Amino acid sequence: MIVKTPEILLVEDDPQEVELALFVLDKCPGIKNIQVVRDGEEALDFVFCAGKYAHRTFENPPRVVFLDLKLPKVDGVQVLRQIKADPRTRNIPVVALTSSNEQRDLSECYRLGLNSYVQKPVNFEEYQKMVKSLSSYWLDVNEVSSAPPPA
Amino acid sequence: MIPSARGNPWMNASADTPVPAHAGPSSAGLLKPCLIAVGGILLAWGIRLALDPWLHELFPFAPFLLATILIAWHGGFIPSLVSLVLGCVLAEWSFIEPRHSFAILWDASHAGKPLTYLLVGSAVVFFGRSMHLARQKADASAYEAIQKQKQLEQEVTERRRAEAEVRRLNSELEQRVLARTAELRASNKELEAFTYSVSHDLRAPLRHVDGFAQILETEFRGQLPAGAAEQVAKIRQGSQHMGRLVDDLLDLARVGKKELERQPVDLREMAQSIVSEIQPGLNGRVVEWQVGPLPRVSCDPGLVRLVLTNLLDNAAKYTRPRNPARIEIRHENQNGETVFMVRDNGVGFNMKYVAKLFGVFQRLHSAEEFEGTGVGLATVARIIQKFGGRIWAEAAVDQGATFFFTLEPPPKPAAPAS
Repeated sequence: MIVKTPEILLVEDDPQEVELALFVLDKCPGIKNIQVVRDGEEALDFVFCAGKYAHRTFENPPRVVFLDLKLPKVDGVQVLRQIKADPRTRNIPVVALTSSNEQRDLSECYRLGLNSYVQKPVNFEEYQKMVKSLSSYWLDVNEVSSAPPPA
Repeated sequence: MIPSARGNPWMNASADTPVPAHAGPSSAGLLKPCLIAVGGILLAWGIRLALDPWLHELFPFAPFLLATILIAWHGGFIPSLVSLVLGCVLAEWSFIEPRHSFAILWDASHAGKPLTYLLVGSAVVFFGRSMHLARQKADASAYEAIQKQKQLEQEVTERRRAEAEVRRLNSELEQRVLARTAELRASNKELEAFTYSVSHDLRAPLRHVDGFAQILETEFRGQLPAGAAEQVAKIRQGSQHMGRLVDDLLDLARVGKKELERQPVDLREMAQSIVSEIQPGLNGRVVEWQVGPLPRVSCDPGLVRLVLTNLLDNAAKYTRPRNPARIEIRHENQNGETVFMVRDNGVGFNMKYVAKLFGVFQRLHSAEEFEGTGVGLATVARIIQKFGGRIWAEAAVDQGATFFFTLEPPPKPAAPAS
């Protein structure tokens, strides 16, 4: 079975938010595969190749995770904590894409090893610009560590 | 307290009854000591009678003299005189031969004994009288001293009670102030938290409105019936205005939440960088910026930046009809205070409305004339208030406006030279 490497893992519970994000991402050239998960539990299953994502392998991690911090079941900060605590997933870049810019969230997230923290603007044009530049930075500009994860 | 005065069995007055120091003898006041005198003499008579079988004719007057001395000391002149005479009569009647008669009194050759007694007795009475007066005086002064002491004790007790009362009231007041302050602080916090979460949670649905309206605008261009595109544009204008409002309100709420951090800030540098941020949005308008020499101050850089940005943004906005627009920022020393001012040659405002200027959602211009949310100056005022400084404005319609502010509490008035 051929498992496609997703380029972006979008963790977002709000369907309208997902629709807008996909609308923008679909227009970005070169993004081939976007995986959407709707809560923190599913996000962890996906990243850790468990549950309904048990067929996945750690050799094909998403190239970047766009993470909402307010999520049902397991919240975004918890997801971030687990991804960054495990040596097999620690290298996956995580971008908090959120409405919240509360200082407390922010410093806690950076302490946990967050790679970037972005507040979504209300103005849709600015939002489009932001999503495009984020994707191009993390997918084209940024170099991901290619070292195989320790066994 | 003088225990001897209290414990004396001969004292006719208790310590609580005032003893007049030099009161003249009155019939009512004399009755009691006279009765005591009679009683004392009768007692002496009884004792002498009891001793008679051993004494026979010896010392017929001795017990009476003793009683008279004591009575003189206790009761004074009149009672002692009474006891003297009574004692003399009783001794003559009972103990001098021939007994049970006053025969000797009429017998000049034998009258020596009672006469001697009366003479000696008189001397004793006079001596006793002076003793009595001295005792009265001593009693009176002792009484006075006791009264004074009592009064003093009462005053001290009274004062202590008053002091305790004052202390109790003070601490009660303090408690009440503390409780009220805590309440106020809590409700302020709640209000800030409320503003914050409302503004915050409004952002997501707003972005959806704006986003889907734009999708409608761009993806279905040409398919929309005539006029629909305009309506969509209005939806987008509304959502974007609300977005700015929410962002401004978030700024305002954040000012309340933020802890002040003071560090040295070069205001001139900061003002210049803000000007260079504003410039590109002016669409080629001619604006003469004059950033005067500004001091380095110790303040919260984030908040001061918000103040300067708001004031310079406003100046740029309200000078839009001017060509060239002139915007100046400088500082002055007024009465030992550093006062900063932002002056423009814009449309100004009527000073009649100056009180509304710094209120939330208060605007002095219509949205068609000048866009805005009515939150910016409220945020500025809140920040200045947080610093302990002051902000005020002077303007006239079409004559431009000047905003003055300080970043520190006013200096305390200098102590008068001594």
